[in-house]
Amino acid sequence: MIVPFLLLALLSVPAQANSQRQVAGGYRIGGMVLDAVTNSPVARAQVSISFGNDTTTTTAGDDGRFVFAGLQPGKYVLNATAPGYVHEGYHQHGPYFVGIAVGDGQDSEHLIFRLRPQAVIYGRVTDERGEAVRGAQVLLIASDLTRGGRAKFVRSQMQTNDLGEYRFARLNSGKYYLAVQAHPWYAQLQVSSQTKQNSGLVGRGAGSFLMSRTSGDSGPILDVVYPITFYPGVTDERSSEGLALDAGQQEQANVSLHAVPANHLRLTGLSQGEGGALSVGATQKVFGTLSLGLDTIFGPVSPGEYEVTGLPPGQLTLAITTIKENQWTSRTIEADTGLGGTLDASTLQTTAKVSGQLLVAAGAADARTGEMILVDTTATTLPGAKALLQNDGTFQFPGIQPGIYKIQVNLHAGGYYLQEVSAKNAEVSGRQITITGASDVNLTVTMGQGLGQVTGVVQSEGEPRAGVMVLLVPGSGQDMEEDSRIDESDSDGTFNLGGILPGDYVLLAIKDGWDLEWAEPGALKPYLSAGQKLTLGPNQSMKITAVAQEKTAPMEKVGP
Amino acid sequence: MRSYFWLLVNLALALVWHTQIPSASAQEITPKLGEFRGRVVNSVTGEPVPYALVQIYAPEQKVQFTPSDGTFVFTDLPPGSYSPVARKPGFFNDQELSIPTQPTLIQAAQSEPVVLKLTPEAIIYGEVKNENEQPLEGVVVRAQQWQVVNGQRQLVTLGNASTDDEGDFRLSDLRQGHYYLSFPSTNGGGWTTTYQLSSKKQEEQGYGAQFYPGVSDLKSATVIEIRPGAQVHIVQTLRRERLFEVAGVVHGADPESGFNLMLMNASGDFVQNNIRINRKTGQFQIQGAPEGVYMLRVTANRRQALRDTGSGLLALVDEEPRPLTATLPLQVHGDVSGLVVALGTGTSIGVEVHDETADNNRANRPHQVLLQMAPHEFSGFSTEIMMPPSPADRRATTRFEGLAPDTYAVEARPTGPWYISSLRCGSEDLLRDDLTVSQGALPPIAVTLRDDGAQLTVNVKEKGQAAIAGILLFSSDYPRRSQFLGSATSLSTSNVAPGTYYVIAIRGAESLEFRNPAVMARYLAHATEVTLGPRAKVTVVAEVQPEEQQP
Repeated sequence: MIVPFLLLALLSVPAQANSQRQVAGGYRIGGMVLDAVTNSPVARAQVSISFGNDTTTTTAGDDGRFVFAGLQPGKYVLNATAPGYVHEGYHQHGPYFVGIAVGDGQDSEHLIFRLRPQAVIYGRVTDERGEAVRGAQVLLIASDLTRGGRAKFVRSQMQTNDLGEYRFARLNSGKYYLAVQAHPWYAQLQVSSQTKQNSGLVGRGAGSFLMSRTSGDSGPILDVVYPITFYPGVTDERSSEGLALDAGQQEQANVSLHAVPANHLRLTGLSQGEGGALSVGATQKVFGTLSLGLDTIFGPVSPGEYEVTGLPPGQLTLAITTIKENQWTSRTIEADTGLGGTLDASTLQTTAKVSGQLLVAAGAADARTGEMILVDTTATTLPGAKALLQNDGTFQFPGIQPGIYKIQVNLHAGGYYLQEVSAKNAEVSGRQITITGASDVNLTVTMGQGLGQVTGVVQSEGEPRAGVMVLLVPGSGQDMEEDSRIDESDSDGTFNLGGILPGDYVLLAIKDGWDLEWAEPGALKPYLSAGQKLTLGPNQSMKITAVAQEKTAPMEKVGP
Repeated sequence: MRSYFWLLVNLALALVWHTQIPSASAQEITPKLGEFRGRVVNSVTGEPVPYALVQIYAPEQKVQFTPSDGTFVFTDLPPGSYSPVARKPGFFNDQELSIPTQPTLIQAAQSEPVVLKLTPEAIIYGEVKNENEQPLEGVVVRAQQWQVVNGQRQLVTLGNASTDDEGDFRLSDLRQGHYYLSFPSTNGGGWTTTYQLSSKKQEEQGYGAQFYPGVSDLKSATVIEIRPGAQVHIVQTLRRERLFEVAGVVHGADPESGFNLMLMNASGDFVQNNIRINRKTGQFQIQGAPEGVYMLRVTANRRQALRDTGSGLLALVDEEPRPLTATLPLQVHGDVSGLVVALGTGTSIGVEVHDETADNNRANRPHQVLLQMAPHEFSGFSTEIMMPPSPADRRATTRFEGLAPDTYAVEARPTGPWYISSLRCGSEDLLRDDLTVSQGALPPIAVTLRDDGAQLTVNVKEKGQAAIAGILLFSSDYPRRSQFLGSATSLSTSNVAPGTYYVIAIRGAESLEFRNPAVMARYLAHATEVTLGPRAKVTVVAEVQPEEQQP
């Protein structure tokens, strides 16, 4: 069963209820909450069940036992928490967990809820003098299980208090990284006097929160920044230490920040036009495709020339957005601020006009309301370029820079999927297009209708099996992260995969497969032969009995 | 022979000394560059403050970090007056605490070492538990203080924090003073809105809004007195209480877009937990309301459409003028059911602007006034309208709609160099009194704008010498016209409504309730009375109030 994270967060401080509606007979959910590491009962754990929109909570006894009575048949969501433990669903992995089937023939009264003790990461952020840095933004970065473990995302973030302390609690076991973004409290970022004279427009880049930090004349001592720093105090994430935590482990991770001189860049060749506005923002990529926003200060030096300051050293992406009469265009420049100096932005004027037509099945022309998005594959956490669909299905993007983009279509009507893309003046590969920027691109995007569904039962040794990872992967091996579907089999062994694009797939059921980085090429090789091949047509529903496989040991690397 | 030798040495020395004298006169022509020494200390402990930033303008900015002994030295300064400023996180300097400081005069080569005081912040930290001694996570803790804002006493939140998984919280950056700790309803943080009614009757328990040490109203709360640099430890036990359901039906909303509900208590917090709405029938259920007095506001959701502006930007177009609202006061002592809320009803009051300024014939750019009506109990539900509306604003409204019965403070703020010469609702003079709204209809609020205000210049003196103090302009006829003009030795203000005023110069003027005649009465004896006519230009001298009058 899948439950979005948001609902889990809202259940974190449950209200206690003591009376439930007494229906004659009715079914029960009951069991025991045990510490997942020590196996001893968790006294007075808070246990809740949800059915539709209604949630009921109870407190387990000192022996960890709980019971809910008078229930109607159906599937329930079971959650538990206690001080010192995570807040999780029954056999939860990422956003998936085992739903409780209640009714005739189901045993829902002898559940063993292994509640995992929380892992905690805590520590102090200090500066070059050993003093606390307050108000530093600490980011907890983890691997995204739902995308096969490759992509990283910011799981949580906190601001340090006056002692420089932060604390991330209620964590599951796993590997985490810490990144810290902060400003030296004494920093006064400098803008050259030329820029200050022209300042009607000394602006602050996106995401800025620079409070009292006016640009002063204080000289180099105060013209400093903290680069994004990773535990324990390095600025290159490749040399940062990840923290591998087991359930119940508490780990102290202190980070020390070192101020470095702020870098200044001159951007020339910018045309703003009369009455237009220009905005410069900067982001830094960490762990591959995760983009973190930076604070910048920028201002005009002379017509067409801008100064950007407050930049940390390193590889950055500058985003220049010009807004003129409600038309905005955005361009990005990769810059290495360590080299400093001047960047000629005019060389990036070459953008391609991308326009095209969206085709849907005959008779469904009304469905063509929505938007098209081009996502830069090197910066997947940034929103992409958007174009609204017109009534006739045409769309037009503002100038797009050369690069490789993934096409996304958001139609207001549900049940559509991107079936095919063809392009003039761009290379197409699946749902990806490569724009070289030479000439204008014309796209034809065909939408198919009718997402499919696969449901069924997972069996092991002839009996339904709960808690098994059910994974449906495209037979072609392409678009694994987007087109695969995952579920965890419920207490009656059933699973439900929906929203499936028509095509060829392999259905796998792997016991304890949750830490498999299945999106990595070759990771699923040992399992494919025992999986079930199937072909799903539009709107088709299939019912399957899947046989659970054991997780095999990772393949040994062969070779010198 | 010896005496001759010594005579020669003396002569030689005399010669050397004399040759130095001409260069000494050369030094007298160019001024000697000065040195500025000092120390930064903790105002409570007297200990030096390491790694503080000291800034001086000479005239360009010079900065230094103090080493561990807190000292600093600036050299090569031309003679003059300097005001060094010290800063460090976790401290407040004299400027931030509005303590007047005298600049230091640097004349000779060395000046007396200056002591810069930094006042340490105070901290309130502690734990929040339930009756079973279990820590409570995600509880919001607020430090609140009575402060005078714009001459009126208000409860201001100076810091807030949220308890972590161990129930711990920490509030920092606090100045000395008297604080209340409040724990707004902790029924889960956000609230959910679902579109299905629940037939389940469930007794819910949770935490209502509480103040330290565990009472539900501010009057019985304990004041925490904080001195500079204090570290105060608080343990708060929150008691569970029964939570109730408020249910009813809303008439007049569009079944497609629906409506939303807000249940607000007198502290300005939203207390609803779960909201369930049936858009078709307009029925609603609000769960999780503790016992208390509330204001329920229902707002119809706007019908909206997406419109392409033609270049990659999507614009949300509101298809309606201002959405309909309804506001009603509510007392919850148990489950409430059967409420009927009709959108668009409730008292409505029109607004008329009489523009008596000289250049008021500008049809497409009328002179505008911002009007605000704030109910006494529930200041979070104040409404504002701009009158007359801009011609381009299709959604403008010219009436206050859906007002619940209450007493309202009505404020009018002109958006340009004009003053409010009259603000009335029928026979009620709103410059003096509040407006009581009950069931009946009310005449429109009439606002009159004029631009023949007076100009007033104030020079502050103390015992014959120019001095710095806060300058208040108090009107006993119309206390709401009273203003805080600023802190200076001399300043000018224009656009003052004609009338009789008292000019009061006093230190700490910002913390006075200058709109409260009872508070201001004691200062009138030493104030300067001035009567301003239309377009008059008047200069007065205000004598700083004697010491015993200082607040």
